[in-house]
Amino acid sequence: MKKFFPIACLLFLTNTTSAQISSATFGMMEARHIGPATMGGRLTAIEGVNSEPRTIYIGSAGGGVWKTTNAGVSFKSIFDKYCQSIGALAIDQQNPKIIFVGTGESNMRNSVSIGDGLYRSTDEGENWTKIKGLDSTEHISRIIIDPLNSKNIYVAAPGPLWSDSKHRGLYKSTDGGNTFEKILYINEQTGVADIAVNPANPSIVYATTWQFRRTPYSFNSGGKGSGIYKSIDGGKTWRELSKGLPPKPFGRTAIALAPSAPDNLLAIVEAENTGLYISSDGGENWKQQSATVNVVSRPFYFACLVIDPKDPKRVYRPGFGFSYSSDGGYSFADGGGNVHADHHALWINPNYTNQMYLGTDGGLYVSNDRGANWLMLPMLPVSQFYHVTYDFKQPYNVYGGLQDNQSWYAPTQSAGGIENNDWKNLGGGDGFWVQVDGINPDIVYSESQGGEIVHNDLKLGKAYSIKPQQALNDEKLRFNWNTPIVIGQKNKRNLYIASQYLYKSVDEGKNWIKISPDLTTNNKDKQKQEESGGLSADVTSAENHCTIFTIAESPLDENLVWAGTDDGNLQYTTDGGKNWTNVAKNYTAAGIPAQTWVSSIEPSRFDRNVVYASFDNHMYGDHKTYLAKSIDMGKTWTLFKSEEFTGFAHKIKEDNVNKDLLFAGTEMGLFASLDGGSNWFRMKNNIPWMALVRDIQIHPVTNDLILATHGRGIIIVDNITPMRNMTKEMAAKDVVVFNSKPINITMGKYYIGSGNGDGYIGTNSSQQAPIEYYFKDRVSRGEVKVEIYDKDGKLVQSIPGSKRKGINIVNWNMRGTPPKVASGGTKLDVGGFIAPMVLPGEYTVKLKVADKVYENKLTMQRDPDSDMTLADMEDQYNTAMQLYNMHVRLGKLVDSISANQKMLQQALDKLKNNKVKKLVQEYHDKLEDLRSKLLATKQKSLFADEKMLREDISDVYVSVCNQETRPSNLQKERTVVLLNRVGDAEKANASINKQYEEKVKALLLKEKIDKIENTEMKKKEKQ
Amino acid sequence: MKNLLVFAMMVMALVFVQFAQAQTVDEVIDKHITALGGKENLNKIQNVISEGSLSVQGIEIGVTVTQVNNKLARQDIFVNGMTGFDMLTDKEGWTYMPFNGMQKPEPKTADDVKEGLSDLDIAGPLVDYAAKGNKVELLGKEDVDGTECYKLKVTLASGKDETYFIDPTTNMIIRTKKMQKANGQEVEVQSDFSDYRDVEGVKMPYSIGLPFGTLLISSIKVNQTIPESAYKHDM
Repeated sequence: MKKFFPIACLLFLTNTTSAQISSATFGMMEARHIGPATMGGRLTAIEGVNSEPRTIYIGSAGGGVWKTTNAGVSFKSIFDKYCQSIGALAIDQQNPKIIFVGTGESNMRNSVSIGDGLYRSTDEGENWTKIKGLDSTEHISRIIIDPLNSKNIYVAAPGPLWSDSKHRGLYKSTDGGNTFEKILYINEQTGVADIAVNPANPSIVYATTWQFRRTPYSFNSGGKGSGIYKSIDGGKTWRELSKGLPPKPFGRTAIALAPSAPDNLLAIVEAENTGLYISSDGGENWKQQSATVNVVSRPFYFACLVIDPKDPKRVYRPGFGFSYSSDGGYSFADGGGNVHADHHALWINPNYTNQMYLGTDGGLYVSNDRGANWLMLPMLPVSQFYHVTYDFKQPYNVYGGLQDNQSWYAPTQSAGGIENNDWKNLGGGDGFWVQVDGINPDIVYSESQGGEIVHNDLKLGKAYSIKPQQALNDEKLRFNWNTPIVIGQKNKRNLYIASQYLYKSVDEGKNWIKISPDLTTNNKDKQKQEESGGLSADVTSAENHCTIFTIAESPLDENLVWAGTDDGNLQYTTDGGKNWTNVAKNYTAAGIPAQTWVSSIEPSRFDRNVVYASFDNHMYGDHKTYLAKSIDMGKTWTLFKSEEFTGFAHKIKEDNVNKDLLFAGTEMGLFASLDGGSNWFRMKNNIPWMALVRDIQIHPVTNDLILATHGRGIIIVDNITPMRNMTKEMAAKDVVVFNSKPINITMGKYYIGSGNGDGYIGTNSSQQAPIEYYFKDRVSRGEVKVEIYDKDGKLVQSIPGSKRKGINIVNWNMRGTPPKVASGGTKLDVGGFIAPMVLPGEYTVKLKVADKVYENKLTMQRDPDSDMTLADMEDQYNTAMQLYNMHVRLGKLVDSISANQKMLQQALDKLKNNKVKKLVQEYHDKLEDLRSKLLATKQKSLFADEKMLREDISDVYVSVCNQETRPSNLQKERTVVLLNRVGDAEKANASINKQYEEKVKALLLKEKIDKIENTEMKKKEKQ
Repeated sequence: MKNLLVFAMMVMALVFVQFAQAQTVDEVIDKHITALGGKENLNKIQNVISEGSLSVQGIEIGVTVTQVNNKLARQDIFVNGMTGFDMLTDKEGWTYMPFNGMQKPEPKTADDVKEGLSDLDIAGPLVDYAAKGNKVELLGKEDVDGTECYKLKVTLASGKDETYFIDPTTNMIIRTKKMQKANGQEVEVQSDFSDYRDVEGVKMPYSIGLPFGTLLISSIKVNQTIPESAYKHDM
């Protein structure tokens, strides 16, 4: 369906009033979320209310906090305005309305986000306030509330991953979370990873400290700062534990005690040889216990260790897989069945310990048999996309790769909403870029980490690798974990991929041409990934560095290609790759640090010398938002500034049509500018304020803004044309009714069938005709109405208009006003709720605001994609209107009969003369006989079908109104038959009246019963 | 369509609540009551009869709302010549929705009646809130469709929570969020209020935005004689 294209009705001249353009300006242009939830990860924290275990809170890595009050049947997102990376959750079990959220996931993978502190709610998550003091911790791994005294709260903060910082350690509050102070601090490289509090004697506290650091090219877990500490005075003093523990240095230690026998502890201690250690005397003495691979693997990433609340012998180790022990940790078995790999959170219902919830990198699972069997709850659309692309089908599909969860595509409209089973899997490991071939839409490129690009033929169902191999004189190829795959903007045949070299193919990747030398700094010090991991080797291509990260072919010239690297080089060629120019030195002059990771490049489609770029320096501890523009092909740069910016920058996007409309996606939000970057505002309209926005696309046909978020799935803002046309001057006007391009008359496409309703369902966009207008301020006085008139000035439909500040969208179903069908029956008639679609032509829209009227024209036209001709449409309309008018006639007839009957009834109540009474009753009953044949008057049950004339008319009427095809021969025949029946009914009524009316009138007069008010008819006439 | 009607009818509880605005809760409440018309005028209102219609895609549903202070809250609904109602007194409640095949009026549960008691108070939970056993908390400001509003959380004596948003430029409520029971489930219902007009010295909203459509009021009468039939649940 062609989308609406309003053209500004006003020309701007100079600056006008102080109309502040913000998210509110765009009012009802709200985003919709389409998931998927079929891959509902990653999840990082789960906490349930012990006294009401149907209430459970789920924290995710980039999708905020979700809440269920029915044990997982449905969920609600409750943290939409705040940081979406969740590190820890805690519920005050004595007052379960009080909840704490620690932001900043602490499973320190390379793509981990950052938090901004600690939040508290006192009303079960409806409202939140930020607690001061921990804003710079960036990661919070555990929050424990003293079970005997809610005023004592411990917060473990591993602290910043990428830099030294004092903001780490163990924090404690003694006033219920109003203020915190650090009670255990080692140094600027070491934070606290885990805590345990003895529930029987909460003065006994254990804390594990962790020294760790990441750089863009390596990871180290372990150091002198790591240790295991115990306090017996609520954290005032600490003693380091060592007896029976391995030789230091330690890395990350996960520690757990048995709630029902708290002197029994287990610890997974990362060390030269990571091991499992058991203590039965409150941590004084430890002994190593042999353990399975799952218990001791990847300790920096798997830090979940839980002992059953009632049975100290039952130990759970969710890690890469799911392990459990029934003998206190001395031996483990693997369970878990079909559960997704990588687990980070487990909550056991203390009232019924068979039941537990598991948070994995693929979603939420519940087990009712202590972990033997699991059911996935596909309700959480917290998928983490890296990039998104689209195709040109109708409806269009979106494609993208997910952290931990392969690559997927789905339509953006689907009957019943976009459901989990609408998402189709392209396979792979971690997914990143997906592209649709520029020439053949059946060919889709996807990848797994480290450049493992796959050529998928969706038609033939075949897939094969097209990864470039190291050529004769090449150095070993270095592919970024998130290798760029890009289609040419000017020449759609061009397919690009890059390691440290840029490759181009013009034959779907069957053959590659290397079109650049090593474009990176090729710094050998940053290429020692095989040494990465620290105490535990961890080499998964996640730390690959000195690679090309972003590629962009100019939309104006296929020989002008830009490439940005993860180690700060920003290069371009104007001759298709023969020569390259590095402008890295130039951007530093604008205030962007040297060696900053170039996250995206956007060559302008309006001027070949103009280019935008986003830079991401968070891996050096610098979270500033770096977005810049050059107008001289990279020689000089200007940094965009705004107080609104939060989060390091991933993507900058220039609009397809309006060169001054810019979008920027960061780790903490989506921003827009209408004036070329001078002023920015955060886009909020149903977009989580701090969404991790990794990629932004604009669909050239539908003008939808498509966001790839790293934790809230794919989010779409339908048709951003109003944003394109919004100017400061327009925003200063009180009321603006937008012009509209001709609208195709359609009943809506893609509506055949419906889904099964399982799991999360994403919303479709409206397929009705949007009537768009703008209010500078919310209308508080008077009515707002949208009225549509046809070319003869007849009112087609009147719709109550919304009154909000900014852009309002009133959806018109492109139909008239339903007929007033015969009333007074025992059931509703569907015919009274539908009207036929209007015919093509010129219509007038009148926006009525209190006593003011704003007019505009609206052209409705035949949908060129439809198989209905204009003649078909007219035929359908005429037939529908014949039936419509029958309803009106019948309605009037039945009204007059009912009114008549009412009068007669009144007379009957007053009459004393039995003879007259008998006659009047006869009259009344004859009328009732007739009336009962005109509409259903007896049936009340939903299951008993009584069909009289009214229902018979509706049978055909509703079908004709709802079909996008001309009426059939039988429908037309039937129409004639029904028309005759209506005529007959009118005649029958006239006949009865002829027989009785005059006589009865005279008799009543004689009995001195006159002046009976026909109030019913009077009322109806007024309407 | 049937669900729409039942749902829409069940959520139409017109409650006139006062909020004041200012830095403290009481200042806010007082300012709002003044804007509404003042406590004296508010307390003079013993009953209200409102007539209006709910418009959805061209379909008109007639509604008459009858409220008698602390005694009755009743909605009569007219569609297609059929009449249904939803009524609540301080002792009992009844629903009759023939539109979806209900054969006769059905009684509300004792819990429903108890929970609905606060809705019978025409003046609303904020007027003399302390005496009524209600708690009110000012939660700062929150954006309501582009208008920064005072956000008030009301915890009724029954324990129920309701949230009210007041536009500081007019001191009137423009939105409420309440938990309502619909089809046996608890749902959060958002209602938007606008087009306030003076009725006997008190401002009342003539436009109420509900989840499924807008209720446009055509007339409001105050302190009328309420017929006995209003309290009855006969069909």
